[in-house]
Amino acid sequence: MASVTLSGVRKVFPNGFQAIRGLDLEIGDGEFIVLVGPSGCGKSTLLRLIAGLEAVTDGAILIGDRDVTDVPPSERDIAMVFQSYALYPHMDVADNLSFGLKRLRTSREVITRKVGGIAGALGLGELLARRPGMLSGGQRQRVAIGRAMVREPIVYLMDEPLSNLDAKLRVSMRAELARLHVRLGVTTVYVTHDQTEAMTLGDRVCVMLDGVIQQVDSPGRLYREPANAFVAGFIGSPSMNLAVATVDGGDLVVGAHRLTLSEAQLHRTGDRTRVVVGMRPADFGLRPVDVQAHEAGPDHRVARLIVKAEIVENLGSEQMVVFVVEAPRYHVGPLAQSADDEETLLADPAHSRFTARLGMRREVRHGEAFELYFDLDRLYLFDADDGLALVDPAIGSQDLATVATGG
Amino acid sequence: MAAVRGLPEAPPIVLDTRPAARPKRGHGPGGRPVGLSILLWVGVVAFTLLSVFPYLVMLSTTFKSGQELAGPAHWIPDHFDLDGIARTLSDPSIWGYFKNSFYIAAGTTLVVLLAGIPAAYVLARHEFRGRKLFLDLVLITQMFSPVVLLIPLFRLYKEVGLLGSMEGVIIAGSAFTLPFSIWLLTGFFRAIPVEIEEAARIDGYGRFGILVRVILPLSIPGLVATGMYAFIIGWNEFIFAVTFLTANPANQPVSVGVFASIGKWDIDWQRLMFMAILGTAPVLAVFAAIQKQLDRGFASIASGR
Repeated sequence: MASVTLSGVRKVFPNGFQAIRGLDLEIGDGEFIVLVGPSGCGKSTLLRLIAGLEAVTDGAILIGDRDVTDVPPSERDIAMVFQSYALYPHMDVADNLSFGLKRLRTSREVITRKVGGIAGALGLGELLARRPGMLSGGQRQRVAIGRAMVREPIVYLMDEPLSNLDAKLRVSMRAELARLHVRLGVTTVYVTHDQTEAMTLGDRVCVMLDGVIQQVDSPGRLYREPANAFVAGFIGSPSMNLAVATVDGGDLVVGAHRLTLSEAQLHRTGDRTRVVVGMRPADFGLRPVDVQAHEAGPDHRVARLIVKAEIVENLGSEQMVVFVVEAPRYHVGPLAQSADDEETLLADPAHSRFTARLGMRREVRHGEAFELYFDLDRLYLFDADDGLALVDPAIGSQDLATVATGG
Repeated sequence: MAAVRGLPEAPPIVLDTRPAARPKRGHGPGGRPVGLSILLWVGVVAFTLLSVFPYLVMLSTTFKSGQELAGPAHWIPDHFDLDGIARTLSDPSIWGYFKNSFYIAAGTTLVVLLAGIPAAYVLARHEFRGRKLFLDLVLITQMFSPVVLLIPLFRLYKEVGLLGSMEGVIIAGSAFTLPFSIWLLTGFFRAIPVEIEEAARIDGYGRFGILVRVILPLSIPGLVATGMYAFIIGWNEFIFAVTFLTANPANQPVSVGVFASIGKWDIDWQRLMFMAILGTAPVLAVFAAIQKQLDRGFASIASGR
């Protein structure tokens, strides 16, 4: 096991495309870190740089204390699981598992023992004589993981290993990967564009955009304390509602709605007249009591909004209600291409479509005007220009978390 | 049926109980106008007849006696004369022709694969400046007529002592077979997912190890197709053989052997045609075997890489 240190890593492709723009990241020994971001954000390139499949343009990569920047992939003591599994189609499962060991001139007995052990652990015993073409998607996935395990690497690199599986199998394989990590405790770098995978698997999640790390944090902190509007919009499903709002006196004007800011919130907006406001779909409620945190004190502030349901998606246990807010939509760049395509399609720049995730106490009808409550202490505020989270300079980011969770 | 809440009401599902739509009037079951279908069939039949015509002539002539051949032309022989076949088969020198053809074809195949595999692998897997131009240039060499190079090559071969040797024919033939072979192989190599190679790199294999242990085993259909293509070209080799091997009949292949049936004063038509049948039979068999793979190769060229 080993830590992975990236310092000042930059990658420019021969065509001039800068995939990674000077990146520093410290991955702890035994840590499961997930690189997540929209297509083209550089997450896969970063993984390939750690693997040694691509050469870095600038900077250094350390695995443990060893500088591996110029070391070929096979000598980095890593193993990689590819999105397409990349099994050798002309070899049976046993040969796929032992191909790397044979290169190391491992004795036949050791190979047999190791392959047998891995096959047993992953339930591949019956399949050893089969070729990849005769295996199901899930079985191929197991072989790919087994091929990585048999090398007993100090770092696992996984490039969207579950994305080729159907939805049901993906959930069960995700749980198996988590169990495997707990059992082996080997440092793992995992790339995905699926934020659910990122949040459920990662000890820490590294959100990337345009070759730059936006935030590296635990899943909980990423959700509660997004460093900027991009992270806020990327993490969470449905994604956070974002719109451009104006600060008017002590109020925040979001379209037709006036939300009274607390002293602390007002302090954070500084002398700005325009900010980006963020409201999580789950923080809305049909009754004031639905949005009150348990620890809410007597000065708990709840806003009442009258909105008209444009779309209602009934999921059985809950309902997603989409309503229009007459405030300019905030553009989070490539986010538009990712998670909520439907919402993006419907939106026009002058209006924002907000989603509220509501309980089934009362079914909201299509086209109905209804009351919606929101805990004002759960407002997220971002700079309208650079998208950075507005933090009270005097209190620091820690307090933002407290405010955001309504404490 | 109640509409799903919040969504526009879905149009009702109506089962279509009418009989399946018939093809439009004047159209065949494939949807193609009947007139066009007929035209296509006429074209295909005409082209097939044109291609088969020489073989039919060869077959017909083989069984006709000299007397019959001198008379008016007709397809079916009046009586099947087997003298030509007996005369050809009893000539011990024809087996030498076949042996030489095989040697030249196998040699061409070997040279083409040995030189073509590394070239194609580099072109398939390494992005370098001018790669596309290089591939185009490779193909342009295919446009040279070998005849243009005959005299310079003759002089060159005389200098280096390759005149009269089958190796000389193999070298010249390979040079003209390589371009298309490289294209074929490049197409096959590029079809292998690059991740498989990367997995092998992580497993500790170098370029050569990956080529030998991963790429080549995965390209066997492509290697067989390319090898057989080279074999056919080598087997059919005539222009270099007849030029370079005139002085050394012992090294002449079947193609030149057929040509030798044309004497100074007369032509042994029966022997010539029977030799031609014998000479083309292996080519036909091989071509039938690799037709699909060759189609794939042509398709990769047509698609630009």
